[in-house]
Amino acid sequence: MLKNRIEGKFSRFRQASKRRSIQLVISISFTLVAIISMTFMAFAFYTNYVNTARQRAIEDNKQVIEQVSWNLNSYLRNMMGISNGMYYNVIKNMDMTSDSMTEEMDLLYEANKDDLISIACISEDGALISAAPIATRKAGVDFTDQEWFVGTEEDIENFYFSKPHVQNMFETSNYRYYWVVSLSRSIDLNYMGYTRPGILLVDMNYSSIEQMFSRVNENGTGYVYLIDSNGEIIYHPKQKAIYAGIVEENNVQAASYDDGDYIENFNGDKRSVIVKTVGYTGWKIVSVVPMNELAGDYTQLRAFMLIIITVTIFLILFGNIFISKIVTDPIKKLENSLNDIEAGKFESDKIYIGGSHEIRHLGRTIKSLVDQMKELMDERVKEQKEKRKSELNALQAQINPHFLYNTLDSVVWMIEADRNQDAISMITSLATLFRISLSKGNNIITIKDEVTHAKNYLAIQKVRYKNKFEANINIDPAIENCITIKLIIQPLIENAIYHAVGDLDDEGIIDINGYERDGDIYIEVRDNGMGIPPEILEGLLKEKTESKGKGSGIGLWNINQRINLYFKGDYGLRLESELDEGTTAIIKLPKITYEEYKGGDKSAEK
Amino acid sequence: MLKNKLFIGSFLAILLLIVVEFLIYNTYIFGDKRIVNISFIVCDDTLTNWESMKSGAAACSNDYDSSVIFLNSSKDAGAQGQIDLIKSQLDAGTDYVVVVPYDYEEIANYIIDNDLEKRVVIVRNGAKNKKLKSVLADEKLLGSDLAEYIAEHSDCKNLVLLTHQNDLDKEQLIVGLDETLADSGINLNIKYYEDYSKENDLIFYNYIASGMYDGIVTLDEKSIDNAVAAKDNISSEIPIYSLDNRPIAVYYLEKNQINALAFKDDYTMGFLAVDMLMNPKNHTNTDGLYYIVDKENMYLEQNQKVLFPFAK
Repeated sequence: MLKNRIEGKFSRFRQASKRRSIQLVISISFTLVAIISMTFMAFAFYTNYVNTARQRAIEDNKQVIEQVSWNLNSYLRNMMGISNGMYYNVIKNMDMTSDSMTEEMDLLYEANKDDLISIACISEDGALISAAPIATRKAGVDFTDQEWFVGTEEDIENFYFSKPHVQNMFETSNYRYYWVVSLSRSIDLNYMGYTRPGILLVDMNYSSIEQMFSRVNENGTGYVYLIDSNGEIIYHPKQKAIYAGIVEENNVQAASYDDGDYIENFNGDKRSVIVKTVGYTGWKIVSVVPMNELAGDYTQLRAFMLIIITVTIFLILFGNIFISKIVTDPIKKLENSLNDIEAGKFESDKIYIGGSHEIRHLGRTIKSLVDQMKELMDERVKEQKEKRKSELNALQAQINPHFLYNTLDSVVWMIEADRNQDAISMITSLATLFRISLSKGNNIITIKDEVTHAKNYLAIQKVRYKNKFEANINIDPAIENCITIKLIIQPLIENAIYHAVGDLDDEGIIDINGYERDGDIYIEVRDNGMGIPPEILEGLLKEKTESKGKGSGIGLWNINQRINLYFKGDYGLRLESELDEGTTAIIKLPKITYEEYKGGDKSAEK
Repeated sequence: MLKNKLFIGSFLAILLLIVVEFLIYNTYIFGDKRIVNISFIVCDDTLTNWESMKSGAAACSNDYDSSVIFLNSSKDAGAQGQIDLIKSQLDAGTDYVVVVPYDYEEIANYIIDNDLEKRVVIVRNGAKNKKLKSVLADEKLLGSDLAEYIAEHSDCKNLVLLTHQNDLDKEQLIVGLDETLADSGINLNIKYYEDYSKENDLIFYNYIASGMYDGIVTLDEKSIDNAVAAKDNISSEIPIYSLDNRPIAVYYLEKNQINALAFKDDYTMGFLAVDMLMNPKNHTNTDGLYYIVDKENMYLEQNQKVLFPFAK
């Protein structure tokens, strides 16, 4: 069902598409090509622009990370410098049994207290040797259990950087707890020449690191966080939310990244990630920018392009309609000229010649063709007219000898019967008849003349047939001045006499009636003979029908053919017959007066 | 004539299109992003104790086009002070108010009576109420967990709890505490007071000195301070179990002045309160919005991160 409907719609579309105009084709084609090209260009431009801009954003982020890395490195170098200064300049040069490092330690602390929470020197068994600022060690706290202590002992060659933690070493008077990152190192302590290991601890203020990153995260898109080499978060803008489990971060994966930029999918979000490793520590600074935030800046560009494209499409559409109209208007006008020619209006002057060179050439060619065609048609019409005239004359030429033969046959018969007076009368009538029939060479005469001709003929035949029949002529005077082809009534009378009433024992009657009906003229020749059988009647008006018995047999077809040739249409001869009742021959002619005919009314000759 | 109409119509269509698109462009591009203003209102004389909640709210706020401010009304002004502040904030054009109620019932009634359910969120203190938006720890479960801790870590059999008789937001906590302690065979003596008076300052001395009870449970700041002071003065070893979020409570814990500290996760509650307002479709999971720590585990990594705010 659906398939049928779709096929139906497709078929209608195909039908409609076949009727499409050249203007429509041009407009749609040009518009489609323009839109496709423009869309492709816009897409290419947009993609290129976005990719470039994204790359630029990534480069900007890299610069930010470089800056953060520099700041952090600087901070860490400073902290390591404090540790180095304390160790190499102070501790290495002192005997722990007699000297105190408190003063130097306090000086270092005071000079850097914004970035430091404390400096401490601890013996290998966890005893506090010295600390700045001076503070009371918390009771019950074993330093050797603390991460930094364990970490330093495991790697005595290098600095150890702990994870951020709350310092749990000294008593505080203001209930404050400090988040620190412990920078610790293994040191050698001199006890009267004996060296014992110890640990120098610099507790960096975590707040300094936090502020360093917070400033970066306050600006721009995305965020920056810091992890250690194991992926443990050192700083993250949502650090606590991550610990609480309400926010997730891809920190473990990030720890496996080498320095560089990456595109990663995390929790369904595509993100641009840049990683930069911090020297000494193995920490990694990770910048994360969701891809949709990178693309967010292009909303303006997208909106602008959308406007430009939409407006341009409309301009192209209307421009194409306008241009295609200019191009196709001459073609349409030429098509209209061709339509006129198709409708039979061979007026070459009205053929459109205009527009582009090609169209003008086409118009001129069509005009030339029409001229030639018209010439050929005129010649053809002329030939046809000549042919018709020749045929008419030929038919007419058949009538005269036919009639002459019959009449002369009657005259011979009269002379043989010593009916000289009758013969004279007949020859006189014949002479009159020929005078009429000559008709100054015209085939067209008035009905009045044709009837006179018929009367003369009847006069001859009455003599011949000793008035064995009676002829009644009743012609409406109103049609007497109308035209007819000459010698069409006489052959009918002749047929009526020879084939119907001539051999009747009873008195034969021939009625000749002429009248007008529905604007046409009818002339009937009716006899009361034996009638004609239908099978014969059917073939009487056909060509080459030979009459059986008397007569030449060419009369009826000849009459019908001559009327048809001259007047065309449904004018001609019709026969009606009923056995034992008689036969009626009916001539139908157009009503044209002789004056109209002579006046050159061309419509008379249809 | 027809062609002219078509031409004019086309021209007007393009003009209209350009105007409409320009308006959209203008609105879309140059239209200021609307910042949603959220005010947190707490009842405290300073905001020192609210750093965690501030951090949580700010962290979440950064994810949205929103701005968070914290305001405090004095403790003396009580619930009315908070109501006045809520009203003034809303009148000033603040989009949402998040309130940590001083008196849950009074604040809740005010919100309901003034049809402010969509604009005011209750956080931290209170009881669950389907009519109100809230981010609250499961108080009953908190009480129950604290009771389990007491049962597991002490030999107490007869505890005393001093609380305000109208402190409705502690009601479920006390129920959870009482039921679970009873299940463990521990008796909880709940003492109510109407207004905290001078006499209350001495009441813990009496409790400790009398030896009537072998443990104390405190659920408000004044009680914990007085109980600790009494314990110090008498040099008693009586165990104290407290609910408190102040840094000094951590200090008490570290100094062995209290034996266990239950505290609510202010950071997460602040975060979730903003998230609830800015992204209502997000499911707010209020499980685990509290912790119970003692001296042994307070410096464990996971507890450090929630117990100690990042001091700046």
